[in-house]
Amino acid sequence: MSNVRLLSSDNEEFVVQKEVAERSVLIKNMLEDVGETDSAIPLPNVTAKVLKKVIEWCDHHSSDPVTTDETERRTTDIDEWDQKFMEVDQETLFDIILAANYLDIKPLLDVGCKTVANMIKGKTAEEIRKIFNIVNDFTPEEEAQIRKENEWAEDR
Amino acid sequence: MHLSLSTPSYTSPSVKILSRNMDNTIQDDTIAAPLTYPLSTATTPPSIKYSSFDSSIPNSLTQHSKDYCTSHLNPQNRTPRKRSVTFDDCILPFNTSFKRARIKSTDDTSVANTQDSTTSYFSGTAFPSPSPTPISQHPTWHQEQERQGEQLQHRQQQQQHHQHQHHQHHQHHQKQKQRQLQQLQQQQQQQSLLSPHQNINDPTILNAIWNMPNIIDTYDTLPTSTKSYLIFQLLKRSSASSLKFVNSLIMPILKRDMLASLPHEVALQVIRYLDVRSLCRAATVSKTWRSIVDHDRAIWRSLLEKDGLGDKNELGSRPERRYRTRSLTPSPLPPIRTMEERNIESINNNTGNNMNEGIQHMSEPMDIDDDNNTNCSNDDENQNVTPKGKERALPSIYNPYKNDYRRRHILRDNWQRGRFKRSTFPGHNITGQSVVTCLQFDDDKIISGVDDRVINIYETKTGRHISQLFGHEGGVWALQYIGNTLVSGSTDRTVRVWDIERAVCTHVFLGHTSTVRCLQIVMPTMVDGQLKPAQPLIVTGSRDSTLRVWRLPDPRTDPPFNGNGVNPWYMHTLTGHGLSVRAITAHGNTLVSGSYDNAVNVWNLETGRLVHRLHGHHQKVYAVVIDPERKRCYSGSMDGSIRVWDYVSGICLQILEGHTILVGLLGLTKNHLTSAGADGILRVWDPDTGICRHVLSGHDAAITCFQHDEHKVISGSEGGLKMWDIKTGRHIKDLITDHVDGVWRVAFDKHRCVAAVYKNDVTSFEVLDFSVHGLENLED
Repeated sequence: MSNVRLLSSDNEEFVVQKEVAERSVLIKNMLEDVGETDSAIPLPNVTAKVLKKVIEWCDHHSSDPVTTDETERRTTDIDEWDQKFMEVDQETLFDIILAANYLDIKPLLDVGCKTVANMIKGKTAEEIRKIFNIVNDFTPEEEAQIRKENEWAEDR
Repeated sequence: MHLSLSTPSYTSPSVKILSRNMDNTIQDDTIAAPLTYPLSTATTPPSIKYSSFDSSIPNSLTQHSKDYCTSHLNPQNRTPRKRSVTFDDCILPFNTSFKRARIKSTDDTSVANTQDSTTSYFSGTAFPSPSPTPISQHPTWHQEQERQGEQLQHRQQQQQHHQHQHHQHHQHHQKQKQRQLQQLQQQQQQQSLLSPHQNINDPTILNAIWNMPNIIDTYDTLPTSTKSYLIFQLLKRSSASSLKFVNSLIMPILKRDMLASLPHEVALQVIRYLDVRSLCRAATVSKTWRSIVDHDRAIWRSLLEKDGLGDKNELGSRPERRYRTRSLTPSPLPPIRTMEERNIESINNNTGNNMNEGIQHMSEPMDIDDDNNTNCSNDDENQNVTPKGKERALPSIYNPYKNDYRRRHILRDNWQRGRFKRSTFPGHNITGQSVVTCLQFDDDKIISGVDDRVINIYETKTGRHISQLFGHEGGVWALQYIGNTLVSGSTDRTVRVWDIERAVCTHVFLGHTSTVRCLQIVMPTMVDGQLKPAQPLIVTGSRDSTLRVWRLPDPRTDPPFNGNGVNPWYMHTLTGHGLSVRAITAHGNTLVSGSYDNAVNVWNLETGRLVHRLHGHHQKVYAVVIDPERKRCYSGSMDGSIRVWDYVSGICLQILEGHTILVGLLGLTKNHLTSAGADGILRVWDPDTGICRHVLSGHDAAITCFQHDEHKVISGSEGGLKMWDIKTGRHIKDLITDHVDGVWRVAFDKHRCVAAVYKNDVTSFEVLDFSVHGLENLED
């Protein structure tokens, strides 16, 4: 099995199995375009720290079947390993999502988005603000209005 | 959150460390103007310079310094509890100058010893509190102070030793310093009575504190990697409480406003995983979140489908228009049309691969703006002309899918909780003995047949009697309308076709030799890729034991027919039953009839041929219902059983038992078969398995009428009208209870339930409108 060399934005080089690297559609397409190459693939949007995490994920999921099943993607269930994998600080989670988006790794992007969604689910607005350190930029009048606009969805 | 430090005063040789209130009220003294620095940049002001000790410092200033030290470093000066109320620890003395007497020699020697106390100082006292928890409220603050006290005693001894060594070189300085120290010591001695562990007048500590700006300076000049190392070393030496404090500072910084900072299409992917309640809450988090949630139509559209509210036929249907026209929007209709079109468009788009989704979302806001600008401005106009005149704080975000979702959600909620507005109107000229035999309604009209030969039409909203259809010479026992065409059957053996708007009978079909007991209009339906039947038909079942099939005329365009001569609309007479035909059901070309001869017959509508004669019931068949999806039909009989038949093969698949006597009524939706018996009990069956899911008991007498859908069953009997949850079998509510003697007929649609009831020999109509509560100010 051939290896691929990946170069992070901070110039750290990673040697990864081709099969693992090709979880990224971006890299897969690049490899197809370039063909066999000895030079490292530069990934200017991903730092070494994040790239390491992403490779860890790709490695674990390297033998997953490629699923495009919409219903599969609808649920917010995350498998146990992925849950553990996503137990990181928000900054890292954010970086992983960005990297998955950039590298075009749909399942990882899904897991990341689901993780964020699960942080939001079932929480009140105030709890959400606390979780993500968001400033409430509504005036009291605006907040009253916006709450009224959305209160129908609450159990009454 | 600001770290505030004073600039050094060049006129006065002092360095002052100031803090200030969180509300930015700077309480400065006259010596130096303070500068504020945001914590995030965490820089020491470059302008800070430290002047060396000046002998001309007046005593009053050193006294200030002493006062400061004693009052701020000695916990005994604090009220231990509720400090945040009685004493604000965050605020260093603003009106006292914190003088730093700098003694070169002691500086050099004491630096090594002061590190710990400096960090303590930092974490304990002077660091302004930028976090949600002010330092003063930090739970471990007090402990920290005590720990410091112990260290102080130890350091004091060391310091005195140093002082002795350097006495010769720094006599002058030392004098000043010692005067200071003496004062402090005196104070300390007094206080040590109260606090034996605390030794605040340790000059090492003071030195360390005064050295702190140096440390900050040093930190600032370090290269980044070394900075990390220094912080690591500091943290390593810090107590758990200090670490907690640091943690409370760092955590908010490491948090991320995910939705706002992620790329738009990724943010949308996140909220796609939210349920409607979480989604609505997310919309109230901040302006950005609201914009993301409320602008996206795709999310709300898919949620409509996911939550079973997305009946496409419903979009833009008349009921929706009803609400829109209520507003003063000049052109309320176009958005509905575009919505429908977009619906189709987007469904097509959805078949594309996932890669396109982002693009699809991205492009969507553009066409929102197109038809939205006009809508928004309309909304604004509306606001101005509403009698309330209430000004809207935020501009509304027009999202037809969210609006639809909201409307339907509220409507469903109203049904589930039995919230409705009830209005009653009397039946027109209905005598005490008359029976309302049939009832059908829509948003505009209620049409009912009475056994006294008259058909009445009422206005749904007001109950106003619109018209009466005269012509039948006997009681009307069956009627159905589609559009403007009404078909009725009577004991007078005729079938009549009416123009509803003009309230005239246009066609009279003769042929049956006894009462027309049941009829159905059969519209062409797609079956196996073909429209069947090829044209709209009428099927009538009669006490004469035959069924007749007729073409459906259009009363507006087709020439009238009064029954004389050859009937051009007549197609077939279906013979095969031995007794009265009691019930019929048809789909496509398949017609199923139930008869008092105990048999269920399957017919081909177009050829008029008998396909199967289904035997099994021991007594009269009262009800039949066809299930084209499963290619089955169900029949209810006086023998108390329901039989499940395969209408293709003619085999009886199952017998559903449970009712004790007559099963007079059957109803079918996609997931539920409901039966009602003369035993006063309704049963809900799983049509796939034949398992009885729920037994709805509560009525005291035979069920006279019922209707159900995927959510509810509404049933009528002596004593009133009840609503049940079809999924749980729970009795939701008694819709009508007040001493009615019986319910003749009941029907409901998306918004209303209409029932014909009788009480003390008076027949009246009850209209229960479920689309009122919570939907009054829908355009708001």
